[in-house]
Amino acid sequence: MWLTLSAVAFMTSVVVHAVAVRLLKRAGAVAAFVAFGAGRGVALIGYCAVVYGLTPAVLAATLTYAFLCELYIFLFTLVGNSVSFGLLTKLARHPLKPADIARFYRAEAMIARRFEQLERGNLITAGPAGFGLTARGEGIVRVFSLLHAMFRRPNQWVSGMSCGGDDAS
Amino acid sequence: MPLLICLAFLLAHAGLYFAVLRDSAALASEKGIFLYHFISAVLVTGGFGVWAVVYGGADAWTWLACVVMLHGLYSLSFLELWALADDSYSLAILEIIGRGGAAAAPALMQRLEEIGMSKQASRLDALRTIGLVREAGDGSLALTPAGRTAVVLGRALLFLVDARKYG
Repeated sequence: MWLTLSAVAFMTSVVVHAVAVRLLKRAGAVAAFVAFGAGRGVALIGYCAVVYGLTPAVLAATLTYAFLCELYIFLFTLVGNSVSFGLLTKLARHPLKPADIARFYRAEAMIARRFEQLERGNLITAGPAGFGLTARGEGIVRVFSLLHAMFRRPNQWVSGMSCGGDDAS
Repeated sequence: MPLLICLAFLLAHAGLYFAVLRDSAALASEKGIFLYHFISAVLVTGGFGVWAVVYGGADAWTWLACVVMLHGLYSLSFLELWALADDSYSLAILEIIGRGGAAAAPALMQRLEEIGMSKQASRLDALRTIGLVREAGDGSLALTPAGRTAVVLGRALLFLVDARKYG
């Protein structure tokens, strides 16, 4: 039935993605999954249309597959970038006192990893004057400025900082 | 038709949030906004579930699956964007750099480290609240069985996507 087809298509996408990210080292995990997942999704729609004709089953299979893919991307990006998961893995090695956590889970490492990700994603660039936003980075900041306004949720880590050259001091 | 009714419901759900409820204190927290979507998902599933039972055809159950998945796609996208707008560390870095001027200064790193430390403290509190971390007798923090399960599942996901760095 259509549910089995969706589940098989999703699991195939996960396996193909797992192999692809190991072979194509430079491919981003999200972009690779979107590319392989979209291809698999089109194949699923085509196959379901042939098997079921134009019935609600085709729509149900497509929506179920799309939901599973979005949930998967959400989960692996959440775990990969989560401060909470980083703390859990540190505590999995051995119990720590609250004061020791900062020593084992240094903020500098968190920042360095994010700078690395942002540079790899072509969102920031390092120059003689320090870091600057690329055109892509400026676009992302603009999009999220809109979202901050739409949701009325200023980024809680930035709000309260004053603007201007000396704002970080 | 069920899908159109579901789409109209989702439009009304989003419209209600953006027109009326986005300034509400009850929806200002992660728990509040999650409940707003969870209750809506329960209503949609319950409403269309009753319709499927009464209508009874095989197509009715297929339509029920369609509306549940559509709601799932909508809620997941909405909550992801809400959380990114509210709390993203990477976006905070982009926004701070985007403000220019002090981008090269060591003060930028100091500010980001302060943010990182605040984030660790707030996340640690949240992990204790949801029962993934507990306080041992000597004042140290340790994982609960649920916390250990979360670590195993998280590592399995990271293995699948070949992510070697995290946190």
